[in-house]
Amino acid sequence: MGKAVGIDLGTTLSEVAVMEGGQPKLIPSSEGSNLFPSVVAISKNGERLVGQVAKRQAIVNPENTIYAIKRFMGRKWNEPMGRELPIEEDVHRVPYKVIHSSDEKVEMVMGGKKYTPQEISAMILQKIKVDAEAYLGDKVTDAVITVPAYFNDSQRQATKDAGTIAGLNVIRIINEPTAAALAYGSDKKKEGTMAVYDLGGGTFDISILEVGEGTFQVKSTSGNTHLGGEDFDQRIVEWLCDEFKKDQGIDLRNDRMAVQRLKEAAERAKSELSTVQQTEINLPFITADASGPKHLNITLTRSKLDQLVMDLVEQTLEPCHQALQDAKLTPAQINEILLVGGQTRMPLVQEKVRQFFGKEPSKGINPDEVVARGAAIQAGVLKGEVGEVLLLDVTPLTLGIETLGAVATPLIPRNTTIPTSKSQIFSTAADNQPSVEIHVLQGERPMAADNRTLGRFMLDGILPAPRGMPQIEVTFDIDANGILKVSALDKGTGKEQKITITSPSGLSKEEMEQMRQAAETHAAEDTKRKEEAELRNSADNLAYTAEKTLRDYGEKVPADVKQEIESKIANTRSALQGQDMSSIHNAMQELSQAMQKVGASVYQQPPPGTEGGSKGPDEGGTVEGEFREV
Amino acid sequence: MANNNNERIEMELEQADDREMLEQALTEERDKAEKYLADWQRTQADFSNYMKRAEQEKKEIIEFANKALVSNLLPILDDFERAFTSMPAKFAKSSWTEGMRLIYNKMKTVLETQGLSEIKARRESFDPRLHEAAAQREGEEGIVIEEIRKGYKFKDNLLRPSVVVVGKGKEEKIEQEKEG
Repeated sequence: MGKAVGIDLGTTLSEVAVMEGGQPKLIPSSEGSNLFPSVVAISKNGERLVGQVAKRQAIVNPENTIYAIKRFMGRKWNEPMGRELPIEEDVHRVPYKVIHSSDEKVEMVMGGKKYTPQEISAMILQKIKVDAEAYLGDKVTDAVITVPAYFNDSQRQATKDAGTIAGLNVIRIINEPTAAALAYGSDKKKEGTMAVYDLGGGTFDISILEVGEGTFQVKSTSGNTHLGGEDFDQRIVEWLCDEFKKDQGIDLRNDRMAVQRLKEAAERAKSELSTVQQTEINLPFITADASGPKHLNITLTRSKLDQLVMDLVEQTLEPCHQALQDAKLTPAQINEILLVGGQTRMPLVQEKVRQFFGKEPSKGINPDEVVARGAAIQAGVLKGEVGEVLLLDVTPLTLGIETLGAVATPLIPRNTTIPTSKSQIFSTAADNQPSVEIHVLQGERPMAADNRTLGRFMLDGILPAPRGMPQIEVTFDIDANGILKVSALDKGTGKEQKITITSPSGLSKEEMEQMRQAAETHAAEDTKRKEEAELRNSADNLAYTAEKTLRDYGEKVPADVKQEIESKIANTRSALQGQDMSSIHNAMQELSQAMQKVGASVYQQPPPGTEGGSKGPDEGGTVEGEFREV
Repeated sequence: MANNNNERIEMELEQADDREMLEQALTEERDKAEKYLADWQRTQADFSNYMKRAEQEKKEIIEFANKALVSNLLPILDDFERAFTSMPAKFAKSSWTEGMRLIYNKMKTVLETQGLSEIKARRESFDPRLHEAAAQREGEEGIVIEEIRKGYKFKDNLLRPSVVVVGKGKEEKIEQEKEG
């Protein structure tokens, strides 16, 4: 079965998204960007170029490069239009040839051939389809395509036809603001009124929608077809030129390459200033005069930027007024405001919108992607993929057990999607240990005592064995309802014990937040305590191994070495009684050095007759943590 | 007798009702089971496709791990080059300048070992897959006559196109001079 995608077919850029695991995901073009320039061209040697490649050659092939086709979709000559400029006006703004065909039809010429706007749009859609198929490894059969809310029936029909020509089954045409609302999950709200504020690269649209029972109705729209982020960039470029002229007396506006560099720097500075208060624009060797090379190095602050573009932002408010008036609403009657378009990342824009409507606009979804995402959600709903979304929960806190040294050993880290299960093998901490206690813990802190106890149980009947030998498999299993089952299985005897904890997250949000914060604030001291516990564990382990070695190979070890080791073991044991970590560390090092002598003396002796030499005491390759002694 | 008969009929009706209800319930459950199976299969398929792509993306991430960093360093290479092209003649022969050149070469070599390579532009025929046209000027038609900014590939993938001026032939020569 083919995939259904959502397409944001824009005037300058297009995007495509698909539902995956219940979430919309943007699909990159074959050039590796999420943005597909809405540009089509026929090159001098007759090759059809679409997207980024077409855009790069536009300057050398202007009469055969078609962009902004969206402005002509579904339109006719001598037809009164709503929001757009008259056709003649739009024709003047493009370098390619637009002709007046029979029946008032609008057609464009490219590579000496006539094309309808639908055919041109279809080429863009086809490129999107091909790239999406390559990315998904699956056929793309169906699509939802978005159009501006002010598009009339023939513009919508033309968009649909373009999809059909491109080999797509257009399952629905939806409004761009509706797609944005879907991406924000606004359809789940019972009813209300929302404003969608869409400030993109070159256009501004404001739409007032009414939501009721999962349907959207456009109450009014307004906007400015020639206002957007590019105007903001231009303001920065102008300012840089002015500053440079004041400083150096040279007008950079006459230097094409310098202007290009300024544009790129302005764009970068603008986006940086959405997160920081000031940024440096550093363009060495921007130009040169008789006195030598000149550099541009200017600091732009957020407040300066705000001054530069204040009137542009304020220009968006008039259409907002208009739209509200047409919908017969006051700002206070708007329940939700959604931000769409990259320029809405700017703090000043958000602030002005907040002031105008008197409430905080919704954020959180990438404003460049929100329309394509919403279209993908709509496609998913129509294909029955979204209808009943299976909501999967996550474990809010880490789950684990207590191991030797009162350390909390995690089995399931927090934010793991459930249902899930995890097993790990543990062992005993002492020789002939008859039972282990499973102490089930919840929380982020490294020491057991600082976490919450969910339950504990004993697994007994472990056969006498040296420490580290028994293999005890501990399994945590959380079902979709969050019920946690913990079991411990002695792999030697097959004996098993288990416990079921019905509400591992029986904590309020506040409690969880507290636990998380506690983990953060205590991170440093916790790490220290954990390191101490680990040091103690390895010292204890070493002393144990040393004792065992002396038991096993004692007769082969010279008396003086044996005595030395015994005293070092005693030192280590006594250091372990104390609290001084450095003395434990030192005692351990001395013991470990003394132990090397054992190896030396054992290997110097003739090999034993039948005895297998490598009887490692405990490292069975399974011990990852050890139960504390019970 | 009549009573009995009535009872029997009622019972039969009830049984029929029950049967109908059961059948309906069964159909519903069957539908549900089918739907669950379909959803499960879909999820499995999604997951397996996702895994395949994640694997592919992981390979690409490893392969192109340094791409973003290299890309951010390109403006520094540009700055160096601009510094050398706009160098006052009196510094050209100084050994200090020579030292700066060596620093530039060193940086370029480091980037080249990471997979960076220059795109040829000057005198090549214009190719929008590698070059971005910034202007047109009198000159051999369709040929790159000037490189405004160097373009680069990273491990054979386009990192940044060359920004170029393309020749547009001889006609309209004078008019174009003015524009350019």
